[in-house]
Amino acid sequence: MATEVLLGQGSVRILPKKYAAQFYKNLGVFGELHGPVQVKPGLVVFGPAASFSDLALDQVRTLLPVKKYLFPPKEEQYRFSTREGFVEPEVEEKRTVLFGVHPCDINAVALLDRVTSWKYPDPKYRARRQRLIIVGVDCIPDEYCFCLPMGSHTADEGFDLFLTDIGEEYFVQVGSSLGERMLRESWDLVKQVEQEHIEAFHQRAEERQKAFRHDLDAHRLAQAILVGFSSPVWDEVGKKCLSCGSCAATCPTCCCYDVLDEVNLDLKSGVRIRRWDDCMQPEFALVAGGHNFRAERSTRFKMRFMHKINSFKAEFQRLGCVGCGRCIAGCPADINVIEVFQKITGKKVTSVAG
Amino acid sequence: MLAEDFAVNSDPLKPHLARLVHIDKSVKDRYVFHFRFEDPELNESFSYRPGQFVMLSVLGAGEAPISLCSPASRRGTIELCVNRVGRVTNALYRLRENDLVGIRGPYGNGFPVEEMEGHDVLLVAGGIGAAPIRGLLWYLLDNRNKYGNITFLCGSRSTKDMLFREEFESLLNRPDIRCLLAVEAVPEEDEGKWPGDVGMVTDLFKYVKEIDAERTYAAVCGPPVFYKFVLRHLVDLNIDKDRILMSLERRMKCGVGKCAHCMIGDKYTCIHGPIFTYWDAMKLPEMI
Ligand code: SF4
Ligand code: SF4
Ligand code: FES
Repeated sequence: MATEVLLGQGSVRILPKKYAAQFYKNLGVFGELHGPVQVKPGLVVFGPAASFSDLALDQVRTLLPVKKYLFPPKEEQYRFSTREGFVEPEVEEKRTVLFGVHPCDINAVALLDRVTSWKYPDPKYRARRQRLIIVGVDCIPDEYCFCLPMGSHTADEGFDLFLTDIGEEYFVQVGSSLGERMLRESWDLVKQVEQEHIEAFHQRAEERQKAFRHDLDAHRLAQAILVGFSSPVWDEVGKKCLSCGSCAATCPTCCCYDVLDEVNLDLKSGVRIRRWDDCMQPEFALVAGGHNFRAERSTRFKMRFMHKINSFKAEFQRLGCVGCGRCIAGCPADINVIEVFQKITGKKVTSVAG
Repeated sequence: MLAEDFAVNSDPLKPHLARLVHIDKSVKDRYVFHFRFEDPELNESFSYRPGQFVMLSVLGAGEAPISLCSPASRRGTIELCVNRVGRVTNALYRLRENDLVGIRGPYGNGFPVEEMEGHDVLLVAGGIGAAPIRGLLWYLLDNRNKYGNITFLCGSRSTKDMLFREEFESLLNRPDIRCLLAVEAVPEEDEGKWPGDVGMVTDLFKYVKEIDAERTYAAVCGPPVFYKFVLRHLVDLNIDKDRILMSLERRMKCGVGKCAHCMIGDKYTCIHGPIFTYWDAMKLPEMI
């Protein structure tokens, strides 16, 4: 292994594609290799992928986003008993290298990192986050993608390595010191960046940007939601929405949860479970005593965006929608968030095929 | 990787065992439960601001947010006035002295007691709202020289429903606070014994004409209908909406700004609240 250091090289390197499989294999030193894998036609999920050829890198989106690694759908929070009190369960020490994460999803993780460390850090999330290594790969958008207008089409933080496809090679950016170690593990496979690579990098960015089809003004969204709080747009979608919760489950930034205790037969001990919840469910804002602050579907829909847009923007200076398109692709009622955003900001609606 | 991740420290979601040491059953379905942490060190160090809340776990039934009503200025025992309404609170009512529960907190912003220093304070409580207001009241009285005139209005349905009734009655004769109590009904056995007014809490406003609105903070807590009427009186008194403080309740699952169950508009009740200024609350959709 070379002892040469990356200092002064702007933390970038070139990986010829012919070495990509070997490079991928070398990443296995750092954790179990995972990436997007096609499980059946039209269904791609993040899962174990032992070799580079298992990866479905040309696919735009996985069913579930990265959050499933950080914030599992259901997890044991504590075991409790009157004798021991509340005790954390053992955590597995396993590390995972997640390969092929797109910029929208990386930005979503960066937001989750902020949410979970805000005021009272969430130790379970943070422990998992420390064990998740993220290798980003860039992508070409499809008709549901709108990360560009949402400002999430590039990732500046939240990854260890990021690979941009520049033809015969990958342009590799290092995002953390662990990323640098990962690169050193494959030092003989990568080479120095030349001016032509930088040009190719920008050319790829231009091409990619041209592929986005939806016109949105993300800067005005928060304001528009406040101004349009009683807009008929919400009723329109509220009437169509089935409250199935698919949008929240697949959204990379939705992280609402519910807590419930599963009790043993002695009725005094058990486990406290936290599981994904979603604000589209009728009982989400029901308080003890029976008052429901959000009995209407349209109000719940509106609140989902008030939270994602207004609240996340105010607290974390980031929007809680990264434009990944999952909620559009998966909605059984054909509700399209791009259309909702366009209508609420008074823009022309651009249609989505399919 | 997160830079700040080198130290994953104490877990804010983990409840600590606490022992139920006393139950004050003066008001039906609104018992005041007294707790002490099992860990003596924690019991000594546990401090909070008036208006903050804890998450209370009744083992086997679940967790619920309960506002602290004990004086924040006196440590050692935590007092929680618990309305018997849901699964968790019903289970709590089945516990006996010496039983164990889980408590974590304190959470929420609490009343801005430093900001309120040097001002007159008008406290208005209705029904169960007397609980958080009582915590604030004793904090003010324990730091009496830092505050101007203190006026306390408290109302409830009947003498039987008035929380902390004896305590509040004893304030009637205390010279450094103006205490005004009202009940809507006096049952037979209390006839002739009730020293306060008979009427709505809002009727008590007839006694508070002479306030210096410019230097007054109002702290209000009660059921939703109560706010509608009380707020109108406070605005009529010309108190700035920024200095009218109110406590709002929402469903809560985490208490620490994560689960999003408590959101009102773009605010988290558990972080930005439960104490909101009227001005902030007014701007929130679905506030009450
Ligand atoms: S996926 Fe569509 S139908 Fe289901 S809750 Fe979301 S908006 Fe409603
Ligand atoms: S709201 Fe929809 S498009 Fe936006 S991040 Fe969530 S799933 Fe993706
Ligand atoms: S109670 Fe969970 S975010 Fe406020």
